[in-house]
Amino acid sequence: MLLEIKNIDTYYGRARALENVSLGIEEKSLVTILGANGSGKSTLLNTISGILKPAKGTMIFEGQPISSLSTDAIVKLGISQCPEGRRLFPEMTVMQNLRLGAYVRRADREGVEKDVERVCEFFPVLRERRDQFAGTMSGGEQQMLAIGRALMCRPKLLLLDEPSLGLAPLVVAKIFEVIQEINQSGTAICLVEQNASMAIKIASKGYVLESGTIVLAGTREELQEDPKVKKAYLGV
Amino acid sequence: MELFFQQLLNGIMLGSVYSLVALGLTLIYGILHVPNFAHGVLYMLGAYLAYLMVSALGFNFWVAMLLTMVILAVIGMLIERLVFRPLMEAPHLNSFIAAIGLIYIIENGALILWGPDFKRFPAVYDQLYHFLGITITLHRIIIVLTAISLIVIMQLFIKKTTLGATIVATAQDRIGARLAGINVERVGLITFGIGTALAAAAGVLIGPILLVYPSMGSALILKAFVIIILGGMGSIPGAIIGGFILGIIESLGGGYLTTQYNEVLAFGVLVTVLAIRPTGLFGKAH
Amino acid sequence: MKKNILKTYLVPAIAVIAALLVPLFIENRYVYHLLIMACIWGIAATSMNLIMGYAGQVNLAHGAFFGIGAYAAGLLTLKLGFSFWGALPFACIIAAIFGLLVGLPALRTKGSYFAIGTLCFGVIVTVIIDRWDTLTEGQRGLMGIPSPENIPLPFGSAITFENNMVATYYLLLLFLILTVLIIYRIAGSLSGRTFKAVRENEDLAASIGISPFRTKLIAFIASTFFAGLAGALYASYIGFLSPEISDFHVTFEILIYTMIGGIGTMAGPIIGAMILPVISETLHALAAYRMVAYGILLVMVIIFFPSGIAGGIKLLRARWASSKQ
Ligand SMILES: Nc1ncnc2c1ncn2[C@@H]1O[C@H](COP(=O)(O)OP(=O)(O)OP(=O)(O)O)[C@@H](O)[C@H]1O
Ligand SMILES: [Mg+2]
Repeated sequence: MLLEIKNIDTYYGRARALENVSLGIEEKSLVTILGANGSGKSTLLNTISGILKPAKGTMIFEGQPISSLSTDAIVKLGISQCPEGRRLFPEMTVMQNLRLGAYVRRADREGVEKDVERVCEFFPVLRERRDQFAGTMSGGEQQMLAIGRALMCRPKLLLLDEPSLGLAPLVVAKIFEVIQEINQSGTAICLVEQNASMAIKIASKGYVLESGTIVLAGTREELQEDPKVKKAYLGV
Repeated sequence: MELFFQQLLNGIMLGSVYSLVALGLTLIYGILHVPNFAHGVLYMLGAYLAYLMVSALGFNFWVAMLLTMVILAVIGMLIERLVFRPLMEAPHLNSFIAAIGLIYIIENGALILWGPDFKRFPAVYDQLYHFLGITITLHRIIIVLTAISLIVIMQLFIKKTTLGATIVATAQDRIGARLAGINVERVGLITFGIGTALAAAAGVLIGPILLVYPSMGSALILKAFVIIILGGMGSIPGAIIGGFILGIIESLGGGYLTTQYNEVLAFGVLVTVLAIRPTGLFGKAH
Repeated sequence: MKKNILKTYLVPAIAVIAALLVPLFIENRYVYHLLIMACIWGIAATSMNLIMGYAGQVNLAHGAFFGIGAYAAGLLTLKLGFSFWGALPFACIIAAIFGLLVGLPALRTKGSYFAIGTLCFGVIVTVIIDRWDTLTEGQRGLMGIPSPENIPLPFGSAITFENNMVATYYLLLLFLILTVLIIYRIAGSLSGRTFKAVRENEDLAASIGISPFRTKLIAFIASTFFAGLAGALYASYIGFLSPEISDFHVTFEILIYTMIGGIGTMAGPIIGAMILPVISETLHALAAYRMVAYGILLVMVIIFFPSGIAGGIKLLRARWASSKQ
């Protein structure tokens, strides 16, 4: 198991947003997390990334407990997130954003340049726009940059928070293609998506969150067959 | 015409010092999002330390300046660590007030240690130069050149180094910076150190001209805030250009307009600007 | 429910009764002086609490409004021959008018901009008072501001205030109580919830139909009105004014009373205004040391007990209550 989460609770002030959440992500697998708005998906990713601290429970990444680590230490271990709202550096160029994504491995200059190339292979727009400020790019372009930036630290686990949000179907298809490619090249992915049918199709395993607790877990086939998932998320 | 050039030169000199102070302030604001009212007393402390090194210990002016910058950088980092970081999550009001507390501590600490009287630096670089009917001391030229060099070094540091980039990134999106693996706490610490060192440098530079006394920071800090509000809170070019503009306006205003209300000219400008544009001249809408 | 009412009013009632009974036990003029000053600073701090603690706006010109009230009272009595009683309401109103004029533009700014904008306004006020010496006497100061005139009573007697510490004390206590009642009425009627909403999130407040601007403006004007009242009472009690009474040290002083007493609580500012000036006066000779101590206290309080003494007491009581259960 690459990441193993056991019984975590996360609070905003006094409001509990996650309750007794447990899940596991295998090496090189693609896991999806489904849930309605406000069910706690982003909270879960932010807890894994150390932006939020769980009040109880454990998180073990490659055998090492990470719940008390700071975000930058967690990134260094190999968990990277492409967050909700993208969180780019708006007044920095595309290239500067990408390079800062590789901050934790900045010593490896050659490797970083190679990865810039790799990201630009995935998203050729980024090469065209290399000197444009991130804040002035279109939503879709920003989303690609955000994914690209998250890739730059060569994560072992990539957390993606609704990467298809607000994008045109063509762009969504493109992004899903890239996600699969990244996964096939050996990076485990935890994908949060509203676009459940597409997400389940490419995932090997999935979890369903409902008001902060996991109500269902299963393989792709199990989820696809589950009547509740069918009704609530697949719309059939 | 001679008066004009004389005042202009004075303005540039004053402006270069304002720029240094405002630059440090705006860097810190960019990271902490809290106006550090204590910036002015740190500038004062810098002037005192250098004065003591030069007059009591007989240090060379430049050695004193460098040492002072290092010491003040350490003090700035201590302040960040002990006072501002614990207040990071609290309402902004709390950091405001903590800064005011720091002013009380440092300004009155200086008063206790060194007394209320004005201290005069031993004369350094007081050769006079005359040209085009203007008189200027070498020290003033040195102030301008040193301040500008420091500003250029800072610009290069921010633009060209990774550490500089992390400062800018943290100011632009703190959470984004954390997710990129940047240790934003360390960035805050370093920024506070650098900003304070710049204030100290300004104090050391201007000390020999304006004399050194405990409340020398109070008037300056407000002006520095006027500059960074007008230049756009957190904006680096805004702070630099704004500093020069204010120095020149003040100097020309003092030469031509009222001398009686000269010191509040800047504040009047600010109050008027804010009344018309609540987010400052170059500030973005919230 | 009944118990609750009793609980809310019990402590204030005891405090008021205790304050009223003070003259039975005390004759020392100096103690009266301290009590009177506590009332004046209590009014100033309570009014600051309205704008800062409840509306969340860091008004750093509070001392300037205090000074405006003081100078208005001084100038009206000395230069225009007003009686104290005639000048008092005008002084408050003048301060409030300045409050309106400053508040209208200033409250459109936010956070740091507001704080620094008001701080600048405060400096300008002090400099004008200092330099416009044909009106204000500048550095020479205004001297001989009268005490309140006698209040006639039936049967030919009268309450005199001049050199009468007990009467002056009662008068100021009355003003303090009135201020507290009115300010917390305002805080309540603008609804604590409204204020909290404004303080916590202006956009949210606006989205649920609360006009943050109007709410803030009302709070600001009321707060400057009472800052003016405190200033006018100060002018008459001390009898002498100099420009420093309007400067930012005064703002900071009031701020310290409010913070250490407990911002956002009713008792806090008054507690602060009672305790700290006493410390100041006892350490008078050691002014600089006192300021350093204040500074350290302020920083410690803000980090470790952000709701001050009053908030700390509340917390202890809550803890005690829950430990009993
Ligand atoms: N900063 C916050 N402060 C308080 N409560 C929050 C905060 N952020 C989220 N919440 C609450 O926590 C719960 C979970 O929020 P979260 O953002 O994790 O939902 P989500 O599943 O990502 O929703 P969406 O699909 O809309 O992005 C929600 O009820 C939300 O209101
Ligand atoms: Mg979300």
